[in-house]
Amino acid sequence: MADRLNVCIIGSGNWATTIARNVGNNVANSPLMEPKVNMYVYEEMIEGRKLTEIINTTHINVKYMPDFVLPMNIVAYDDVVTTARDADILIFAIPPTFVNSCCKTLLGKVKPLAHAVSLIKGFERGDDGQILLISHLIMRQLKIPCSVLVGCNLAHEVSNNNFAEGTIGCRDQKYMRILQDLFKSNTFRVVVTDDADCVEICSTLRNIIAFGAGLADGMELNENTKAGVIRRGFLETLQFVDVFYPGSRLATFFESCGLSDLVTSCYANRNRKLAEAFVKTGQPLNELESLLVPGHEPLGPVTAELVHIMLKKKGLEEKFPLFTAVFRICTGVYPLTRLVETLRYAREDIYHPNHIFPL
Amino acid sequence: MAEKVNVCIVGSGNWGSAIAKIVGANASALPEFEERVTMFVYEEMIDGKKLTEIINETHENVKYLKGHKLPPNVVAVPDLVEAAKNADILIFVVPHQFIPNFCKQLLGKIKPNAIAISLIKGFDKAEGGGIDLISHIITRHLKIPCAVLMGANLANEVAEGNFCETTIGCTDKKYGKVLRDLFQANHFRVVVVEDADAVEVCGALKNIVACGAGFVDGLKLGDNTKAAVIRLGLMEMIRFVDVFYPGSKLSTFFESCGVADLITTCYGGRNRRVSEAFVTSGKTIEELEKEMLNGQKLQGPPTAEEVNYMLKNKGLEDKFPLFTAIHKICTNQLKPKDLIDCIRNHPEHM
Repeated sequence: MADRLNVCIIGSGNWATTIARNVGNNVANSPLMEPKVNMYVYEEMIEGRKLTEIINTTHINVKYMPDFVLPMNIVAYDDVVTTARDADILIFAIPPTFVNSCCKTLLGKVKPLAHAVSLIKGFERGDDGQILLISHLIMRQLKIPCSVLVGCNLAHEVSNNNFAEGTIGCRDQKYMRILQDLFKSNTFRVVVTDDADCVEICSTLRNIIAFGAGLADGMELNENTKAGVIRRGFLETLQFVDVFYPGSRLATFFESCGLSDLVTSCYANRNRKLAEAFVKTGQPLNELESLLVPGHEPLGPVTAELVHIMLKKKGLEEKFPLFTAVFRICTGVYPLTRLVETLRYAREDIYHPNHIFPL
Repeated sequence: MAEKVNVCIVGSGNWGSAIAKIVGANASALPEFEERVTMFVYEEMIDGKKLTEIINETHENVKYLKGHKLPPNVVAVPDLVEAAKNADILIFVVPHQFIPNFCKQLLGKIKPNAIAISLIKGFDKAEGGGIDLISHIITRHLKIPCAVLMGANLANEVAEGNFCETTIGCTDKKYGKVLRDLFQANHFRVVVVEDADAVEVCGALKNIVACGAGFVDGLKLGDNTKAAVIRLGLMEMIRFVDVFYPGSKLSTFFESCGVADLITTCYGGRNRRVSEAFVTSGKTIEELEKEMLNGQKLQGPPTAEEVNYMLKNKGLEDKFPLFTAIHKICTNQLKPKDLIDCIRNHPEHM
């Protein structure tokens, strides 16, 4: 790589803006990287001025992060092709529902050897009703490898420089170091693994578990029971990955994408709040969802639905009692009380990782 | 064991009484157990009446588990040797500092092929320093095998019949079934693993991590940071077990005694609560123990100290930056706000 690597960011929401600061600072200090970072911003008029113009003159994304100054080397563009065409690394941080159309626009316009990184939480519904991972969608559409960065990283906490961790699931050995150096900061620690599917699916399945934990909270079951839900969910996640994304490593579940993400979700997350409200108000889920979750992030109920479709195809519903129970509670097939019943009768020999942790 | 299995509960505190409800019910329902379960009760006078008498007449431990009926086949006995002499299974559930003394009294007076199970959370200080596991102390003194039972179980919730999971660590497989039968209940799910040491060590180390989680709460650093501390704490727990109790299985950490207990303790437990107050109030741990816990001792800080002693001996302090930092904060060698600086370059991030 004689030339410097060019980085672009596609997206300008909370998370995109937050990570843009790390990326901007890191490329500016790296001899390997081109210092200018293009950022695709969906154009809007804010008090009579274009958002891209505001960002490029004041370096503040007034729409999403009004108290947060971006590095000078982040340059906003309103056209995604212009933003991305010279990039060697494309960072995707847009709502999952926009990925498809965005990729169609970009197809054939990006460098053939470019590498994508998805920061997108969520997934798409595949044609067969199964979960389609965003990184798979990007790879399929753009024909370039796509790594992922997930982990428990609430945008505002990262932007406040509170200590946080993230996990990169990298699909190309030679980008491992590069991606780590691109995203990390003094307060944001990044661990890189090559287990990309596992990293991404972990952060998807936790939606179901957090929803289950929220149900327990809503029913005012105690902490011990909630811990039981979390534990069972963790075990089913292991098993799910084993069945649908075989070859993953147990160690990946102990990264931020697995354990930390799960813990945060089960104590402070929209899924949990949604489920709690579902129990306490008795209102239908879709009403509550539009009330509580204005964004595009798919939550527990829809995740549970897609996972259920996948399980049903393989006839495995009974082997995943928690995921199945959450789905059936969401659809009204099961009463709420089935949640604890599930824990009571779940098989205990669900997964036996017998190898010792590599130290 | 052709004859019926005799069970004795050594201890009658909050947890001992809660577990007596389950054990008593199982002993009378299952054919393999002798119905009568003895419970050693430290004799006290309550309103002019002996506690053992009250328990045996009203079947309520008015002192430690008020409002719950014990099964009538649980018989309170004020004499330790009398309670234990016929037992095939001895359930130890007393504060850990009593263990050496109790064992001395029992030595030679119990059945030679009895087994013990410890429900005691905590550990003793080894001679010179370091952790001495309670189950090891019992085995050493009484020359009988000792299993452990640990998990995310608060005594009152178990007594209420709220659903809980728990883990029994039992090195000798042949006792696994009888122990499970004794403790399993509809609301109390038991999983038996062979990894007894890891189960017990988890129960001690989680209290250190909970202190770290409490510091983060006190510093108002947010959920990401707290999750990071919990995760790094678990990694250090796993590594600690691997170094000091080698041969343990990773799967043990997935049991109730591992992840589940850790999470509950880091969100609900009193180590977390006092550690949070330690940051926000600026008082010492001792002052807070007096104020918030009626003088009862926290387990996190002394555990951190003994763990630190063990790590120092092996020159491993820098491989366990979180445990080390928490110990230093508890002993005022570091300010709570320096916690994050200590884990910024955690070996896990290398």
